[in-house]
Amino acid sequence: MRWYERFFRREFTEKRLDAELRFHLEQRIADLVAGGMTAKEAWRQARIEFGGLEHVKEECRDVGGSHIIETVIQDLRYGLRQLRRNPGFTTVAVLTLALGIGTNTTIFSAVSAILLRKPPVKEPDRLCAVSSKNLIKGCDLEPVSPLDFESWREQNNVFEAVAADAGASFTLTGDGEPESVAGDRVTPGYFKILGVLPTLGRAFLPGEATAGNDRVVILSNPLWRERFNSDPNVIGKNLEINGEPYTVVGVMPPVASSFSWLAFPRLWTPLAFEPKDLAPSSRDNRYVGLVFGRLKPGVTTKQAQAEMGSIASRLAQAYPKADKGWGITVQTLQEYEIRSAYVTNGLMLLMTVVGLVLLIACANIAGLLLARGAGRAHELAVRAAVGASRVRLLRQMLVESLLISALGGAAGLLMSVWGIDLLRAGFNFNDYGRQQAAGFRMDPATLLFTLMVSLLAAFVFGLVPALRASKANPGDALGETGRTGSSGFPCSRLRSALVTCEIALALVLLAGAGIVIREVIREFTEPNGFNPNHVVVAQIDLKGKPYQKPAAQIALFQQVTGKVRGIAGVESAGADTCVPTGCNSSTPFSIQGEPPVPETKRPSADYFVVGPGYFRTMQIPLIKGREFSDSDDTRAPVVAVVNQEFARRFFPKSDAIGRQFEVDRGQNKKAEIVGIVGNVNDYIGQLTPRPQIYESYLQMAQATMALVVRSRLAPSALAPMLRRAVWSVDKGQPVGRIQTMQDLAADNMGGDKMMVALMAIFAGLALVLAAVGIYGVVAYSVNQRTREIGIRMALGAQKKQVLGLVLRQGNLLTGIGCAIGIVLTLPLPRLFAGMFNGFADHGPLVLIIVPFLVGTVSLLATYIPARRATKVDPMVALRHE
Amino acid sequence: MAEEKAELLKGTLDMLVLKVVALGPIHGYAIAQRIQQISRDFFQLQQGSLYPALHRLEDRGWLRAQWKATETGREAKFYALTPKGRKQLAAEVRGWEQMIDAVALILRTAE
Repeated sequence: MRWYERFFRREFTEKRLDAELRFHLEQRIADLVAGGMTAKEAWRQARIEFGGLEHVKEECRDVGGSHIIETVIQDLRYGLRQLRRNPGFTTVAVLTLALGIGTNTTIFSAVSAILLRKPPVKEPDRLCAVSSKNLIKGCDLEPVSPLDFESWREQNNVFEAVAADAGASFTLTGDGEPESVAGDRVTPGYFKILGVLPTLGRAFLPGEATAGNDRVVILSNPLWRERFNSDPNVIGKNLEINGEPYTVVGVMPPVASSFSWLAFPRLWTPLAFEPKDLAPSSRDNRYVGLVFGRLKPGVTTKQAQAEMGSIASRLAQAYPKADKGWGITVQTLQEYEIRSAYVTNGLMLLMTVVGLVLLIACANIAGLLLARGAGRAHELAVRAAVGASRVRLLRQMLVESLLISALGGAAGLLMSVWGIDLLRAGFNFNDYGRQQAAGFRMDPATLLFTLMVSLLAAFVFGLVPALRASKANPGDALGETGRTGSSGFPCSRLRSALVTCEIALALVLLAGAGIVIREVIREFTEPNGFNPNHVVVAQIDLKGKPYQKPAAQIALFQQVTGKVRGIAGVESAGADTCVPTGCNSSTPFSIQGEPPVPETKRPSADYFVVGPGYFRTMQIPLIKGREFSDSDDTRAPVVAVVNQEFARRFFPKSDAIGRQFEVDRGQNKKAEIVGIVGNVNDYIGQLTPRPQIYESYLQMAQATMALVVRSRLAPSALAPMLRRAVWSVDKGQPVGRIQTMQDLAADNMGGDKMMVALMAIFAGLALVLAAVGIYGVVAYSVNQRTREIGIRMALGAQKKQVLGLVLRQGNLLTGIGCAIGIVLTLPLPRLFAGMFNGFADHGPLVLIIVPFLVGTVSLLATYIPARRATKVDPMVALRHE
Repeated sequence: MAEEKAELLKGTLDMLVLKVVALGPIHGYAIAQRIQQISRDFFQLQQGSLYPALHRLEDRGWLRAQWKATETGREAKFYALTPKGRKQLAAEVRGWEQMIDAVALILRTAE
């Protein structure tokens, strides 16, 4: 009988087989009766001669060879029946796995969005981002100067086209409130190289990259919708930018992805290099943020890197003043996007964490399966005795594991849909995070990942129990021991080992989470050198012709600060180019009276240009000397204030006050130190102070500064008053974002907070799972040993002794698990310190608290079944079969 | 004695069945009768073991089966030899005879 006969025409074929064999029997009986036997004797004789009817039928059925599909379907049906018959087990297993898989899928959606997704440009693998590399500092995502850009363009043979992209902020005036927006200035070939063109109008023409012809603008889709009401006839209309009319020539399509180069800018204008940018002395004026190059056909990124590297050396030789110590980095656009996000380490950490959570979940399920396997020994032995091969049994067990895995995977997928939404909400802490998170969704890559993880999990938790179960010795199992179910030592040893591993893993996860949490809390609570409470920051960006003279810039800021100070409720106000913990700006300098040092070896310090009253506003302590005053203006000698670290490092034995130095900022003015202030952090959680230099804007005019205002007024009340103060001086001057210092910190630290939350959740999950695991093992063991416990109690053991017996087993497991876990966590602090900025290699406090926590939880999980053990009634236990 | 008979039978049952069927379409019970008859009761096979063999031979394409009515009017499954089966029978007989010659040779010379 062929397998398809068995499958498709089963009833019919069975009937035929039965008929054939019965015919034989009936004929034999007839002959025997004819020979003189009674019907009864004949029947008996015929049956004896024939052999077992069912056995013969089975052999006939086996003849056609069984097809694998048929047996797999059989296994599936059997497996489903098993799962249905044990709803408790099935629920626990599926839920556990769903948690493990769901968390993995959720995090993977972020990984997929940030690390795997290709930029939405034409042929993304052929598009490269080219940036300058500061060989001394090792930073390789540095901007390039216009002259260098031209050199790169002329000298290279690897790119078929290059374009430059310089970010800038623009002031939009005209109808409505003045607004400050971020935009990109780009060379004409830019859109063509990206392969993303405007949907309305056109891209820039080559002629528009010259000064005078460059008053054209391409709008982003959101800007078009907001400022022009999606007017389809917007082409040709004017937009007032930086005080001048620009003609709209194109509108870009909406950008759905998280690709920052297209999603961030609100508008584009042509990048026209002015003559002063192209003067030979400006070769080191690096302000063009990025260069894009499309590789020629057949050229690889490696080749391009090699070629640009040699161009860099040539430039360094030809123009040592500007280009010595500078290289060129070529990478694909995708790599650049990923690296400039600085999230790779964090994401990898999260993936590892949820991977470990899944492992713990699998260990739990494996333990459950092992326990169940022991209970099914009888059934499996019967099957083996009737003729099932070991391979067949193994396959059966694996199919059951796959079923659990499929259910768990489906449930996990559902869970992760909700989880991804939560994750996206968690990324809401700043613009960049929001934009990245927009790409988190259930995409094909994530679905595929879920499938693979489910399959893998099935093997991880299913293989060993399956091997163990299929090895069942029919003799043992069919006998006494099989019926009572205690298949003894080897099985429970394996389960114990599993639980020990779970505890160790949970410990590692908790320790890791603990370190992360501790560090972030420290970052938030340690003082940063100033008082960020009740301080509001407003960005002011002076643009346009009237503000091209330094005197006008100085005047505006002086007037505005004066007006703001006059607002009732404002305690103090000042201005600063670079708000602490909000930005980072440094400069090399040289000290007068010391032997001259070559440019590349000069020390550098953080550089701030502030106004009088700044230190008082920020409550940065003045240690020695004096602050800036209104009389330190352009007619007076240039003065500077430095911080304690600067004084300590560069004037350790003498007084810094009175000494002079010169900052390498092109103005070539010697400044005299008149005051020393306390150290201020550049970023939250900074561990070692850096030298810092302050100069006064009354002497070094600035076009862009932040207004800092200390006031007890609510920010929502203060903000409009600030705006009015600015507009009372210049009604066309937009005021950028007004934020509290706390908001600013949140912008920068929001990512850390979310990381902490996630780590805490996952570590907690791990602990819960491990606790469930150990509970399961101990409870099961108690169950198995009920008879033994009954005997002990009948022989006189006290409840306390029984309790001790059970607890001892649990504690042993916990102890070993914790020991292993502690050993594994020892390298963690150093590992984290290397991976994340600002993580100190602090003390062992975490390594003491966490094992304690894990131990306590385990003990609790052990205690509950232990107590139940003491409640065993010896009479019931002894009868327990 | 019975065990020796059983040993021989496993390898040769197929051949014997093919030979019996070669004489014409026949159902399973009749095959069992015939084998017992012709061998003068030497082979008293476990009758049930005949049927898996029949099904196997049918599966391999050496026998063809058909449900027909017997003389008594009942329906039974009749097996007949296919051309392929005929070739297989010839081959097995050849092999059997070669084996007999070889054994006889050894027995003679070993004396």
